[in-house]
Amino acid sequence: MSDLLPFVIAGLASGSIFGLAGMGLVLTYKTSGIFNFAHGAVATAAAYTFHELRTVRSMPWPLAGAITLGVFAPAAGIGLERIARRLADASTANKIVGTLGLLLAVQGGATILYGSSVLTFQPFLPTGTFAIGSTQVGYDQAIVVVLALIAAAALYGFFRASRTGIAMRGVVDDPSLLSLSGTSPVRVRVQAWVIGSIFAALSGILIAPQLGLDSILLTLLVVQAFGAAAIGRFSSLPLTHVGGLIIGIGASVSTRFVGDVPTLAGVPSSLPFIVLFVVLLTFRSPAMDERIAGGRERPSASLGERTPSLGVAVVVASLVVVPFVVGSKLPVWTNGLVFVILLASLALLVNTSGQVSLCHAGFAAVGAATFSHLASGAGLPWLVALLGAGLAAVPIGAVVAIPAIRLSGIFLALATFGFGILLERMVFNTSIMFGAFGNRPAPRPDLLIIEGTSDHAFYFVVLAVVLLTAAALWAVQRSRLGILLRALADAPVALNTHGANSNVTLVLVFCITAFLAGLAGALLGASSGSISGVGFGPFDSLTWLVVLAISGSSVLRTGAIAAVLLAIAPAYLPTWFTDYRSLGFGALALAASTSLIDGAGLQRIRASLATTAPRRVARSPVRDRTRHSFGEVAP
Amino acid sequence: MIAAGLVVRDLVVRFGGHTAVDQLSFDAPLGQLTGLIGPNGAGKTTTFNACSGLSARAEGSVMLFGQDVSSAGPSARAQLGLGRTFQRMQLFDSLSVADNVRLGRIAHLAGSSPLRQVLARRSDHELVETATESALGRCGIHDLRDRQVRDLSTGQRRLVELARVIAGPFRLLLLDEPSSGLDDRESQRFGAILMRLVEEDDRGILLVEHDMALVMETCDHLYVLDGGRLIFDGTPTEVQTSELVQHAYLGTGRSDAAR
Repeated sequence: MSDLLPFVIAGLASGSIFGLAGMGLVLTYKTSGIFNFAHGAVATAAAYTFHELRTVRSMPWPLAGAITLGVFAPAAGIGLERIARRLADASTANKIVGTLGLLLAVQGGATILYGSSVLTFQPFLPTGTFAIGSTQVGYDQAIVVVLALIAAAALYGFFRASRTGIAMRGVVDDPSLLSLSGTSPVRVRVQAWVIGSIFAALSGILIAPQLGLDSILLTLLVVQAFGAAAIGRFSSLPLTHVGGLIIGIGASVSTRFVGDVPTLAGVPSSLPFIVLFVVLLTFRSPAMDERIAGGRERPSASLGERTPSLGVAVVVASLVVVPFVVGSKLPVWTNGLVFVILLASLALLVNTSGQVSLCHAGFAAVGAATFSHLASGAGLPWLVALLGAGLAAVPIGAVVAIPAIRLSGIFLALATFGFGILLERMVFNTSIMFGAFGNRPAPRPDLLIIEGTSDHAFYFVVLAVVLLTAAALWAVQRSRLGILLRALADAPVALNTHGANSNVTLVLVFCITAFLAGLAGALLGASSGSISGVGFGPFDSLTWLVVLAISGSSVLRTGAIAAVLLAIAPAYLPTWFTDYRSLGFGALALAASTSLIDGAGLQRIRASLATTAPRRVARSPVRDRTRHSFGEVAP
Repeated sequence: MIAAGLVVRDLVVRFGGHTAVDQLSFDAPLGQLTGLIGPNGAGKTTTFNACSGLSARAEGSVMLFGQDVSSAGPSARAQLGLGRTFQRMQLFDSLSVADNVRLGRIAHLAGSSPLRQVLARRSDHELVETATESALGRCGIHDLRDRQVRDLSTGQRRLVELARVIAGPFRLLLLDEPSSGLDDRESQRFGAILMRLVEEDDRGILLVEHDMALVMETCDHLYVLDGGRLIFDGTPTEVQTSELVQHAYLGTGRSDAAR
């Protein structure tokens, strides 16, 4: 037992930080109804601010801390409240995309300012130790635990006893009633966001010494707060703190046990996501029910593409000419084609069926890994391996459909996000997928009649697959399933009471999506010759969803526009632009979902972005009837 | 029992400590309009949800055409011939009126078979189109067929929801306040549509309705709920003359009921 104690103490310290972050998240969610996916980004920005002040500008750390917590965090909170207010009337999907956009923008901004390499973050709390029995405890650990306890108690007391705290509880129940009693709900919400941001900032500063300044890791690790918040049922502050401690201790103690087992090496760091996933699957409080019930509303469904016409012929003809025009950029175009499959399949799920998935990259990764195993490991024919890659992703799609049956809106987004991270942490580096070295060969085809290994030949192989896929997606939208999917997005309950089992519909669409993403993953691997987890991480899923949101509301055309934005346009823009990509996509998604730009403005932006690349791909063969996918923006 | 449609026995639905429906028993036979009335909060919609399989908390037994469906899900009950509309309408807002009505039939044909959800049988198309045309015609909304449902008025939307459930092969219909939001003229037309459904198709209808004139005029038998309990049942005339009912529901005078 005594040899476990150091692990428990370390876990208490990190768990306290998760608890702090979780409580900030719960507070803002409770008072505004906006689930802030960018909560971790606030922590990230705070850690960088602290670093800037202390290391770059050589301030003493207490002053740097005071400015970060006393000036930066409240300012961030005020800004977030304004965003939340604009998101309040948006559709659920828009609420998700809005804060995801902010997350992406902050992470991208940090990368622009400080580079993508990890900076060290010197500990600022005393690092000495004292003994409890035979166990050495760090002063910093003790300070963190006590600080978090005080903060939790203070917040809880404030919430229970003070006038503002009571008003905060009132604003949850009935904002209009609260304003009748003479208290401004807006002011109360601003206060909640300020406090929430201070908690996020504090957690960011406290966890940075353990992690280093890594914008992605920081953003994702404070996402561990999601796990704590899930244990607190997204409503109880004390339970959220306890949830943070459970996760921290669980993760820390499990390192002690899985240390010798390589296949379980991912368990400790993914424990919060296991917790999040399991809690979301098994636990339904009335409060969560209520949120879920309100979460299905959705403004506009795509009407799908019209019957193929001359326009399609023109697009296909242009794509056939591409290899002879683009010169050395051909591989970019090949990847761009694959991205059409990848994003159109996501669009079938998001735009047509009204579901949210933040683990799309996971499906692609499973496909890529399977392809490598089958084609290069087992030596199966190329096409068979490609088909196998798609099929291997299908069961994963079915698994992800299970949370979709029970959850919708933000809870589905959270569950799929958790699942994507789980997949990356626990399976990517095992031999089932990319292996410990994270790299596997992926061959290009050597078909009977075509020797498909050259860039030109491979382009045409991919083009053939893409055209087949596009035809299949077009047929799905026109089939009985197509109309069922659109009905599913609008009113799943009515689908059931008229005799169609919507769970079956959900599983079907997730399986189709996963199959196509698996195909795309395999083709991406074959295109570059080797595959690894790079490009298939949870952050990629997130970026894809955000870019899809700004690309339109149909399936094939939206997929094509998003593919141009993600895979083709960057190759034609100056390299510095690549650095601004995340920031740009994020800011655009945020602006679009908060209706800062209206539908027409967005279409103009879309059109101008599309024209940076040759227009044939982006321009639609159909009559322009775009409505912004996630937004109820005025036409 | 010639026309056993829906038979509910000892239904209990609890939300936490609150008992929303308490030991409720009633019959809604085919070929008849049965009314379920009561003040707000009496448990009418909760009863509907329990009948159509949308309430996980329901105890007691629900028999549909002689089969015990107490533990069946909503789509399984629909497959047996139970259709319903909603007080808070559940329309497919992004689709046209015609597509909404089609889905009433398509959803039933699709069922829970993955194959049938993807592919239609060859004969299905005609089946769906015939049912859709007939339902649109009965509800008098032919001229709205290409309109987006979200652009319609409440009254029109109520008719679309009714047409959608009529398009399906549902022999027993649960209609939850179908006339709320309708003006008097629309209500009267609505009553006529309902009576034709019962007389011509021999369907059974269980109606939750606040428009007493409509209820008294159309229903053959009424059940009166208050606080989740059945307090009275009988013909409309019996209900109108019952002092118990007047006290609990209709207020002091009879003017409301006789309106």
